[in-house]
Amino acid sequence: MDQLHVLLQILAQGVSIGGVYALVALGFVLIYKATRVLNFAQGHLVLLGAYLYFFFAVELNLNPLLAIVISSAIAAIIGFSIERFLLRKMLGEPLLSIVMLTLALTYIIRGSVQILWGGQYLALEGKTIFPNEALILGPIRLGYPYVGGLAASLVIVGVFTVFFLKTRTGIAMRAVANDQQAAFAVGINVFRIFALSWAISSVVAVLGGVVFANIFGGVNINFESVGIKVFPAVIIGGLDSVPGAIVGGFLLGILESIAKLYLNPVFGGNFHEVFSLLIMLAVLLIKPYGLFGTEEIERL
Amino acid sequence: MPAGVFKTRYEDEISYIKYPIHKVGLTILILFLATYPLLVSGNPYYVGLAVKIAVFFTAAIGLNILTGLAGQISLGHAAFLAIGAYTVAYLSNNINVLGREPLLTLPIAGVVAVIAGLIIGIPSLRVKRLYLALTTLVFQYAVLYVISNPRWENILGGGWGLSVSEPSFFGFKIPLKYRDIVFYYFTVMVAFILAVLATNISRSMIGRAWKAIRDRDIAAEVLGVNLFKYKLLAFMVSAFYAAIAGGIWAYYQGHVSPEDFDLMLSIDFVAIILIGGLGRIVWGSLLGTFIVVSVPEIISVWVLPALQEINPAYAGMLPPLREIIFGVLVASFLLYESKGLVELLRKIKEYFRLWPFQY
Repeated sequence: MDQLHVLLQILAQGVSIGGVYALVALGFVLIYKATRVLNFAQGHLVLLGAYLYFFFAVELNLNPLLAIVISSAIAAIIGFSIERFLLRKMLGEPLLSIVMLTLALTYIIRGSVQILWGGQYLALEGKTIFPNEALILGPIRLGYPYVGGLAASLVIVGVFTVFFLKTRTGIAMRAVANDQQAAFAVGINVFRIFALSWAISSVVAVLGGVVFANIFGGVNINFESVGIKVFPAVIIGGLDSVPGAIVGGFLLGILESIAKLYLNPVFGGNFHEVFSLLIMLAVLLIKPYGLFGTEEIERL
Repeated sequence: MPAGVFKTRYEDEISYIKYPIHKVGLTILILFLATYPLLVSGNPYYVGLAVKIAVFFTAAIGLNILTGLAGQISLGHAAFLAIGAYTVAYLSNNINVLGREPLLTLPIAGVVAVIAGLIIGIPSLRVKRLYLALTTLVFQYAVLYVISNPRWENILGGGWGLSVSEPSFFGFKIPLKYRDIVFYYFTVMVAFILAVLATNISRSMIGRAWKAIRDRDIAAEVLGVNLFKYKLLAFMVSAFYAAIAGGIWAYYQGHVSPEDFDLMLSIDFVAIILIGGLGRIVWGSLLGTFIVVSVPEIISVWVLPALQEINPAYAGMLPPLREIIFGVLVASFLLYESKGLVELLRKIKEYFRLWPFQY
């Protein structure tokens, strides 16, 4: 393969992984938009989703699609409870306390997953949704799990876009995100919307976990690292913008795979992981509201 | 005889220790710290635990100054510890005699970290709150990347880390038999001096400037506080404390590796200051350190053996169990006593002062 083929191949893979990042970033932005909480536990909800899917599909030997439905239902309940029993009590508390609470959640989720399933790699044993072959598109070879992951991400993102544009609840959620007081005044139950945002965001995270598990053919405690990667994605796209999260997710996937190919040999080690964070730092310094975020005019 | 403590001079009014009971308390504390190794009859486990608490306490003071006093959120405190620890490790291996003197290498580690703190502090003028937390997160990962990079393995040791040569004081090597005791006295002394220093900084003009920035930066600027200068100063002081702690820890452990300084350590420090009390730089940091350091030890010494008696397979459960209990502990503090242990103790004291009346 010549240089161009390698580049195309890497780009295609970056786009596919970017789909998963977009999904996780979407969940993250949903919570931030509605409740202004920076959820550090998003990656751990992904981790939990992957393990829930593993539990229902492999350990209980259910149909993969049924397993996805049950995992999503459990995720919705977990997300709802997190908001209802933890974060609602933190309204008006300083920012650091709220950040720390989501960090405490990461400890609880990771510890529970380790106690229930151990920390090692667990294979899905044929319970994947996508066939384990490769799609050949001219010069590019792409495994079906990647293609399927990308397709699934696009479908989920599409469904949520329609949900936000067309349904009553979706419009109410946008109203709350836009102006809490005004939404309250026109009779929207803001607390219900908060709880709903957490529930939806958890479901999205769990679906991201399922796609991740399918791409890697198994589950692993390291899936949590996607929670850190989601920060560059949402900062590049704009913290409070749903389209921004999606664009940011794909951009991050592409940037990371290019950095892996070209920059890792130059700088050594896992430079691609730091590279995306450095890009985030640059964006933070130059354009903190990202590509599509709301510009907050502020004295420096 | 006066019925109470009355102040007749201005020095009494501004002095830090105002009441006789506090003098008694301080004397008892110093006596306790001086005789602690005797009280536990030199048991290496308990002496080691005290060293760990003193080291974490020193670093926690640094973060409490930055976050509690100056109001700047940091998720990269462990990176400053790493800088201190690696500086000490590098000096101890590469400089023949003087590199083994903690009294010389620790200040150098502090200076290196102060320079790093200066660089990390620069974005703080432009980037605030949430975004600042993310900036410090980048710093945390960048430092971890640098110290674990295989490219610089011959300098920084890569993933395996560096070993640290045994320290010596003024050319005298520590006999292995007394290693723990010497480390105990040295660490506690350093922690004590740095704690007194921190208290005095917080009472000085610098400390008041930090508090003004924390409470309302615009108002502080109007009052004539140079925001850029004092924010940078907070980062530098915080980095200095962390680097001293990291350096001592490196000598005590005899080895440093990247995984000692991961994000979880940074989170531990944030938990320490939140559990202890934000802005309560000495007592808050001390109580928080006690809880965060000793709870995992209690689990591994008492809870785990009990679990193992029920089923030997539970032996591997220590790390996850520790994580769950730590998470629940932090969450319950945030939910039920968000001002920390210091505030809780004050409430208890107030309850007994008024007992049996309500108010």
